[in-house]
Amino acid sequence: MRFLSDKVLKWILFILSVIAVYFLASAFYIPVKAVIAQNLLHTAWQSTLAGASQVKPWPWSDTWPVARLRMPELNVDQIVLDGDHGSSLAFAPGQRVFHFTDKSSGLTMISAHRDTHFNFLQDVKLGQTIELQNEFGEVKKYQIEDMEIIDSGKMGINAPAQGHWLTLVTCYPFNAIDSSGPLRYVVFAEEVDPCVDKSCLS
Amino acid sequence: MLQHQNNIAQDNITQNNIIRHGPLTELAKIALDVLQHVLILIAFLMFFSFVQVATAEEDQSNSLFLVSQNPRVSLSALMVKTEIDMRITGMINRSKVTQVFKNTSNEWVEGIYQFPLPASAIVDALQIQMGGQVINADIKPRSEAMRHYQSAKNLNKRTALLEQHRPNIFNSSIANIAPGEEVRIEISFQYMARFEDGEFKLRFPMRVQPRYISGDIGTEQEDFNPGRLKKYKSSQVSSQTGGKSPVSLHIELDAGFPLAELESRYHAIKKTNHGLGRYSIRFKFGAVLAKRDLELFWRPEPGQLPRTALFHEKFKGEHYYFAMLYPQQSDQQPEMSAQALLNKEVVYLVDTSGSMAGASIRQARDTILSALTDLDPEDYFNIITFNTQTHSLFEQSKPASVFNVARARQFIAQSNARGGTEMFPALRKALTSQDSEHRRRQIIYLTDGAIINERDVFGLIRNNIKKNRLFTVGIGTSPNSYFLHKAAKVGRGSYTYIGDANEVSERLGKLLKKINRPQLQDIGLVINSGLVEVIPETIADLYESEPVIFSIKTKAPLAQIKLVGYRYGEEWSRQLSLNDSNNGFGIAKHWAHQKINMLTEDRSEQSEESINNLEKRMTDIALKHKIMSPYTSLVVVDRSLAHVRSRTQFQPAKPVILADKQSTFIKTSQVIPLSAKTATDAQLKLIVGLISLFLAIVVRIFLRRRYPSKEWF
Repeated sequence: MRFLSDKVLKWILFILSVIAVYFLASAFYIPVKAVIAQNLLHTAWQSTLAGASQVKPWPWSDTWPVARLRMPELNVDQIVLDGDHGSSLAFAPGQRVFHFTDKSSGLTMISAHRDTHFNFLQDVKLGQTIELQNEFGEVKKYQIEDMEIIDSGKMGINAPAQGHWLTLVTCYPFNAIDSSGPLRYVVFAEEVDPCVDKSCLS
Repeated sequence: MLQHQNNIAQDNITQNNIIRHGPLTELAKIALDVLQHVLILIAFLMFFSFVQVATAEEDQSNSLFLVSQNPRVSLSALMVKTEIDMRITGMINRSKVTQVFKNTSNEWVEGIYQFPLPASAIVDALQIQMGGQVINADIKPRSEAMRHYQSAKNLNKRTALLEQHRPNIFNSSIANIAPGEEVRIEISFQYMARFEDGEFKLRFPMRVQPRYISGDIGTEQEDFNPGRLKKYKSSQVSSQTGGKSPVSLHIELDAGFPLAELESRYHAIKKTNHGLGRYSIRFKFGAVLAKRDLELFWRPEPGQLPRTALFHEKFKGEHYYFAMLYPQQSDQQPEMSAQALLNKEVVYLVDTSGSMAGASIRQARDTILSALTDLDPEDYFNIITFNTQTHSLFEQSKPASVFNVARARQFIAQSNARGGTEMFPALRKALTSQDSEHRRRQIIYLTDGAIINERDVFGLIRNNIKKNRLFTVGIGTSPNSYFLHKAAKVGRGSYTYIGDANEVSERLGKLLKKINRPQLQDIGLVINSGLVEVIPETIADLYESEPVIFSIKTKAPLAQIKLVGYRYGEEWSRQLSLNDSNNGFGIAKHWAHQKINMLTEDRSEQSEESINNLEKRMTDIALKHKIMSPYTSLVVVDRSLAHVRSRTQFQPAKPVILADKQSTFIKTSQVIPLSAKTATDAQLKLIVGLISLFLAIVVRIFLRRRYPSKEWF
């Protein structure tokens, strides 16, 4: 490094330090934002349950909480926002509801980032129960029936022929560096008829 | 529709006659000829398919139903063939039935198929071959299995489910069969051959008949899975009734002793003798069309039959025994005491319902007439017939005097087969009419068994049998063997099957001779061990023609057991050493099946709470022994199976996005794209940040080395 003058080296050091600080800060900001947002969202959710609709968690928000997702077995308790575009996924999982023309079946699709909210999807197992509370306070239970890795560039998921389904979608593989890969990890859960469930009897 | 098509066909014929000859007109003539044939064929097919759909609702037995989600599509499925493969060792028969069928439609369909198995069949495995995959099923609690099946089906995956519909009727469902695809279903089960009249018998049902559902009593059917097929409209269901596809047979028999005789009663067979009682058996002419049940029988060479057969199996730390006491040959019997011969009362209970019409009622009449000629004037008797109503010859049993027998003949001649099967009042009358202390009443119950409220009947028999005995006789082409066998068991008697009208007098004669001479009565077991379970709880009497069979489960191995009872009216006992019992495969499964049957019989007499307990116990037993039961089903839960349909149907469809809360209305057949971006670049940023930090540190260290004296940052 003899050909580099002291001044140049000092500048390199300065720039590197700035880059390091910026990237590290923004890297840590993503999970911190995800956690802090959830706390703000819980407040907004309480007023939603109290009867308000489309409660914005912060003034400049363009989305609002629509559901609360719980999996007690994995200590998961998250507020879900409406819509699955990038600006809402930074704060919380995003929900889209598909209604089918024949009305005998339905699909709720919740997407979230694999490295924040939906990191727990790599631990879910078949048969586990997911609870979803809607804006009216009703809690619906879904049982995990299947997990699948799907190439979103080539395929979608088929609309279920029967039953009401919840799909949790996140990116795959869970520890990849590239955030634009086409693979998606999809968890399929079917709504448990409240009186088929054993807890109904007791 | 038929009429209309025929009219068009007629029009073509008229046109045909007008056209004059010439090369072009010749061609037109041929074309019209072809058209005419095609139209007639279409008319015929339409008529035929109409008939099939119309009968589908009533006759679900042994039929394949293909169910499509598109109600406009009429479907036809083709049952290609059935293969029966049996390995018989001693009395235990391990069987495998393979059913092959083809989806001949252009639709993805669900196949629902109902078929009979022997009433005592213990089903423990199911394998499906479709689309080049071999899939094995697991045993699961019934509701769980159904849920797995439904969700896999809804996810458009290949899946299969086998359920016990009734004790001898099974339901199999296969989801997502591709157009034109061939499916092989392989069902494994075991059951015991029967020993009767000095010969071993093995029955395998080829078809079952529709049942009559009784109206007034029996509010609950013993149907484990009511009306699964009924939810489909007839236009969605097409069927092919049984008896049209070929059945092939392969049996390997290892009897354990040299045989004097080996025959099939209703089918021509080809047998190869491998020596020492080992045989290979096939149908003589390859595959047959199944119209009659298979009935195979074999007879040991005289003196080769042991007095007892004992089998032992250790399973999950417990010991299971299977014991059989063969009857003695008639030449070794002492004379019956005069006292025993005097105490006789026979009640004939005859089913004259509509399902008995034709050959069955003729056989029943022959049976009664030949039975009456066997009666001694000192014997008491009565005849009760039942269809929708009950008629009895006498109010109480009367001696078989010439006058009384003449009245009986007249009474029988007037009985015609019509109406439903209200057997309950008739059976109650036969069981509860006034007892005589000096007589053991024998009730001989003749029926084709086509009734459905079986459980109430078992309760009635159990509560009223006392020292009387009930003998059931199944007649016609397919009596309900399950019901009749069990009724006889509860009634401490036996079951006789008579399939052929020519055999009636011979086989009924045998039955009457048999019940005339019980060898052992009121048999009990003495076991010197605390934790023992014996099935059945009450052991049937030993007659000349049938063995006594029981199963034992213990924690610790048993050295010996003692049998007690009355032999020709005198007290009797016998020691059996269990140390030298043979190791048998399937003894534990047999015990589990018997236990579940026993608990099922108890069910009707339990309170609701204990029924729940009982069902849980039965589920646990079935799961432990991996066998099918009313509470357990076989289901394919292989998660690696592909979404067969989505792969082929995928189109990058763009759903219409509505303004309202991003809700989207789409068609069921549509594919939903996974459009959300579900990863952040946090990790990438972290890595870039860390690399920059590392480089910064390297540069700083370098600068420090160059100017150790200077302060840096």
